[in-house]
Amino acid sequence: MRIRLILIGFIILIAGAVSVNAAELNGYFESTNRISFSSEPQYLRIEDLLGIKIKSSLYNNTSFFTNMNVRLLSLPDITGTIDLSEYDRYFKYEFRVKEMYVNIMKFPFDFMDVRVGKQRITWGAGDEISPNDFINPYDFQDSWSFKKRLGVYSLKTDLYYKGLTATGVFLPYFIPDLLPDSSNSAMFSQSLFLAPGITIGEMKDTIIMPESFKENLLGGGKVSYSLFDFDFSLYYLYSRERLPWIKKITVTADTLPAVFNVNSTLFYPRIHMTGFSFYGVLGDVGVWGDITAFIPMEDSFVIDLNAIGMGIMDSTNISGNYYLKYLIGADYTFTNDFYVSVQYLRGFENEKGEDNLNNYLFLGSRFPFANGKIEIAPFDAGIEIGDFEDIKDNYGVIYLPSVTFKPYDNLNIKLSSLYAFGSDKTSFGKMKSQNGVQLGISYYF
Amino acid sequence: MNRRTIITISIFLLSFNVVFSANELQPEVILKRVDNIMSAPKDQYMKINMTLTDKNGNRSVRKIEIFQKGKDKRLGKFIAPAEYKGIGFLSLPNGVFYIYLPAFGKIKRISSNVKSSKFAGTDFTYEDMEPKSYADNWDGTILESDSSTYRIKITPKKGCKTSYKYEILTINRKNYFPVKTEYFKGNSILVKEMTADSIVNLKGYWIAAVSTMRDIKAKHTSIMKLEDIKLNTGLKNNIFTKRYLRQ
Repeated sequence: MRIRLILIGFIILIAGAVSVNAAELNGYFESTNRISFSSEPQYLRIEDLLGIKIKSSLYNNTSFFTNMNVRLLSLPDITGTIDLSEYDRYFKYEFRVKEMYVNIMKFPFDFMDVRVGKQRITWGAGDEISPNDFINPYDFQDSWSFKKRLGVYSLKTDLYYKGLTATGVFLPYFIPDLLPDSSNSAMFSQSLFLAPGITIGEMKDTIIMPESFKENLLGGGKVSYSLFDFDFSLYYLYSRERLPWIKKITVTADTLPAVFNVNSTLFYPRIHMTGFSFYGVLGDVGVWGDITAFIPMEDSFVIDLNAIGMGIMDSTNISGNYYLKYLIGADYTFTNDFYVSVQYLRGFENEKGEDNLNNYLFLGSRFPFANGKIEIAPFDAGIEIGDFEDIKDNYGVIYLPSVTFKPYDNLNIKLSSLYAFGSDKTSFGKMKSQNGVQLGISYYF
Repeated sequence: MNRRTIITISIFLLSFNVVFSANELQPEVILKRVDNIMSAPKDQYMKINMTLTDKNGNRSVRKIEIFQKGKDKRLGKFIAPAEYKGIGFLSLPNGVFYIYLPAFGKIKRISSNVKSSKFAGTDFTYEDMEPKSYADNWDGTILESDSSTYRIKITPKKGCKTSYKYEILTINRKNYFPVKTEYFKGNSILVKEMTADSIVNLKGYWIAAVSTMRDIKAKHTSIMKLEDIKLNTGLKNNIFTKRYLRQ
């Protein structure tokens, strides 16, 4: 019922927007059909997305923008006869407001712009992935699209003085990363190693979300300047970790012998994040880099085994122990428009603390043919190495080649392979259970 | 016609040719005049409709909005098709070139060789879309000249970053407007040619209202038509910044 009301509101909003002369209405339709590679192929994902973008000029320097979409998940979720009469079990809808903001240029001064509302604030130099891109939380709902972000409500001000740009960002409340659903969560799953004969009974967890205004408050800034053939930026954000950390694990004995119940408390610790990035050209090669220091400000991790007579087993003080994530990349375009890129990343979003950072190499490619009507990406891949001294047991690879056919403007038909292999100790290696082939159709209007 | 008459006429024509050659402009002067004509308006705003036609006759359309100031500042934004809407580019002096990709919310500085890439599937490259300064960056040699046109071969000067080995300009003697540009690459292979199909005089300035770029090998054409043009409206320098590119 709720989603239907939202959809009605969605339609009214669109109708209202287009009735205003100044409004520009654009949209997109994306269909994703994914089938597993197994001997008996199964549907992994059937999804249709209808997105609407509205841009309206309100006054001279003021504009409104929104990007909303409705997602239809078409795989039926039927487990019992009672579900056969439930429409929502056949088709699931999801409505999202990706962005919705008001942009005021030259306000209150000529050298200042203000943007208020739900928005995407892209920081960092990396191509789609950057440790300095720390304002918007990740949208990990589809593990294979691990570069997507959620919009955040914020007030952003940009000040321009000669070649210098200073940006201030204020976020009134904290939004964590959106995690995959259980059928899609291989990338984040952790193996639990138990002593022989020990069984875990009940597992519970509680997440402590920031509550007060002060606990929610996030803010920071960025300063950018261009020098010679390079653009340089400095970043700072007072924020929170966007994936939950364990604050406390309490282990209690069950009534059954050798069975233990685990109760964990998780939280999003306060953190300072500060970084530097550069982007420019060396000869004919585009080069960029990011480095970010993460400085957690709250203590974490106590394993309380008092209930089974073993006291506090382990505790770690993480407060003030900074760790660095960094990225360096390059790209090159050949004379026939063939494009290749390479990026090395130290530490992905789900890795915290110097000892837990893995190494990633991302390759990108784009080879257009037939005057751009066909585009092949043969080398798109990611390689993860957890430990260079034991690569065999600590590597994971995702290989994502694709071919895109563009028969007409605004229509793209993309066939891609989603193939992962490697050790289960790595995020990429764990994704092999989701291996498949995907047909995507996009239409823009 | 007797022999004496023929000799008289020949002497007359010969002397005329000598006088004519003495008055012939040097190629760098012609290129300077071309530059002056091409960048005569202090600033320009234009909406461009580009019709692309492939060898099978299939058509598609691109619409672009362009702001230009002087001869080395240009900002462009795609209006259509929807797939490209919002993509922008900013060309600044000294070969500085930025692209804005709204899907990523990012401004990307691109290297000079990327400028040889096709501009959104058209037969124009990013380099072709940049304002050009012929006299500063190219050396010229007159190949031919007749009563109506000069035909000048231009080769890049040292430091000029271009994907072309050389170009041949056919320039109207009357107004110094290039009516045809032939683009050569590699082993002097003609890869493209652009013709100014309709040159109009707007408020005293010569403008190519319609021009066609042809890709010789692909047999693909892009017809560029100016739908709306405003000259000398006093565009401010701050339009040609990353701030405006992102808007």
